[in-house]
Amino acid sequence: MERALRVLIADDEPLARALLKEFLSSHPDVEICGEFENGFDAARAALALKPDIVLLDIEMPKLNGFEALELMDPQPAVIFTTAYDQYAVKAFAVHAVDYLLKPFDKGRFDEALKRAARTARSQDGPVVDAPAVAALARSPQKHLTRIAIKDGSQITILPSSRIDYIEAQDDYVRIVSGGKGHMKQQTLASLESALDPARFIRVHRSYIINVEKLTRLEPGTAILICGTEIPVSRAGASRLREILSGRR
Amino acid sequence: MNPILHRRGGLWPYLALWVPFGGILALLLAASADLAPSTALLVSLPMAAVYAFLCLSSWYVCKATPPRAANYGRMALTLLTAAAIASCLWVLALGTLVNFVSIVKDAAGLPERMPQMVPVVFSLGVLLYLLSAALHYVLLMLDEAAKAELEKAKARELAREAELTALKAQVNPHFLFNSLNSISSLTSHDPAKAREMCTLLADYLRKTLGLSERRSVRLSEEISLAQNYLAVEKVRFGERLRFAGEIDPGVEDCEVPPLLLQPLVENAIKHGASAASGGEVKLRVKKRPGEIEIRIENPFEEGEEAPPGTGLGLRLVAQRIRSFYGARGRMTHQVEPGRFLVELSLPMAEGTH
Repeated sequence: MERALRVLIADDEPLARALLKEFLSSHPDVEICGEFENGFDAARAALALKPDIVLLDIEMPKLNGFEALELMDPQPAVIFTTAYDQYAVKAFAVHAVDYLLKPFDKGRFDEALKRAARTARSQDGPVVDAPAVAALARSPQKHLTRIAIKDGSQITILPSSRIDYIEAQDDYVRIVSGGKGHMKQQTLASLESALDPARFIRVHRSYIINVEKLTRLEPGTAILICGTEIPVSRAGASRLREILSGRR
Repeated sequence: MNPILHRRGGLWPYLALWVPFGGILALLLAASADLAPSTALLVSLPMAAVYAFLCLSSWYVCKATPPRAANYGRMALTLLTAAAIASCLWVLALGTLVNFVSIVKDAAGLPERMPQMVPVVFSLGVLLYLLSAALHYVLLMLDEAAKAELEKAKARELAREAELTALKAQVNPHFLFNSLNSISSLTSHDPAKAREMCTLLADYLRKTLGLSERRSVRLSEEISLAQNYLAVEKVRFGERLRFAGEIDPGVEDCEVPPLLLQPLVENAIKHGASAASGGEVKLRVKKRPGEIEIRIENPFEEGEEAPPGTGLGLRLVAQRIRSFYGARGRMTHQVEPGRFLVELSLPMAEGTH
């Protein structure tokens, strides 16, 4: 007999969780390793518990399902459960195993679970495209208002207004806020496109600054309130001047 | 551009209008300078044509000096100056024309009669210029009225659109499907509760039916709908959601736009239920002299995805209040440490509709 698969449940409604547990109770080959009512707790627990399968609601407090999934490592096999199909395309773009529309019956649930179990037991494991998840975590036409950062088993939610500047470092970005740097695996360009362009300016090939944190502009250098000097390219300087003149 | 030149076919009627003026000028010239009728007409008709075009320039003067009570003095001065200048030009044209006619028609002594003709032409010139200015003022005002009408229609269209968007947003599919999922969950372990939930949900849906077609509803209906909604949500979220209502007596008959409170209550529950420790949503309706005050309050955690107050839902509510009550109704919202509150002040007076 194969080992039991560990399932983590994340849904903000107790009744929805109760239903999932009821449906799971007829499957002896899976065990529930935890249930959580928001995305933050679910993501943090997943880092410690390393579940094989995650049943993930999308609209949840603190972090939504996509944001929570992005932080999970290793990536579990994911079944999204949601009331409304506006996220279906997104869900499949991040290689979700299945997508259950509430309310669903036991037959439909069993089918999804079977598929997830097969994915979880396969040699390759689930394929989740982390940058794609990050891009999809926010709703379209809406700028990123917070960034979830994973640091070992710690998860930090950083409101984007608190960011001082962002620096590119190989495949990572270093997000600096209040003198503290946070590393995140993402490209500077993809982060730039997700942030509010009226507030976050790419001043250099390797730097984005928060204009709210800018105190002075000297030739080739932007000086932030925290005292940090950021190199500014010629194109960056003209972009910066354009934004600053538009603010007055 | 001048509205007469701008309008297709506007120029010919305008020029036709000048033919009688040419006739009047001929009569005046014949009388004052003792000209033969044919000579008078030969002078006056080209003169009228020239002045017709000169007078088109009064449009610029009219545009630059819009009639406002504050500057009637300046307006009169500007117009008289412009009229005098135009008229001087006309007199110059007269000089040229008279010389030309005297050569062509061999009308000896015509140039000698200039002194008698100049005062007549000048005063008629001023008069006609002022008349043309009056015509242009009328055209300008017609244009402005048409523009204002167009803008009003546009504003009405926008308000209507806002109304429709607001109403469409009410049929919240998340709410419906999540509630059905809750019922599905309850059927196996708490059938009685499942039945209760079915009834609550049915009540809510029945109350919303046909609501969007009505222009206004009684506040009591609106409050009962909100309470019904909260009762359903309470089943879904359990202990995490608490609700406190405090409604003054005597506010029931106040008329409000249908589903006005719905987005506010939804918002409050969304944040109230998501607060870490759970939260209490408070609805308070107070009667004040001449108006009622509705206050919806919920706990709020910093760093939530939707910063309150920037939401489309809130903007639409504010817009609906404006289009329903005008300046007499208003909505304010504020973030206090740990909580968020929205306050509506609506006029109580009869005939709000």
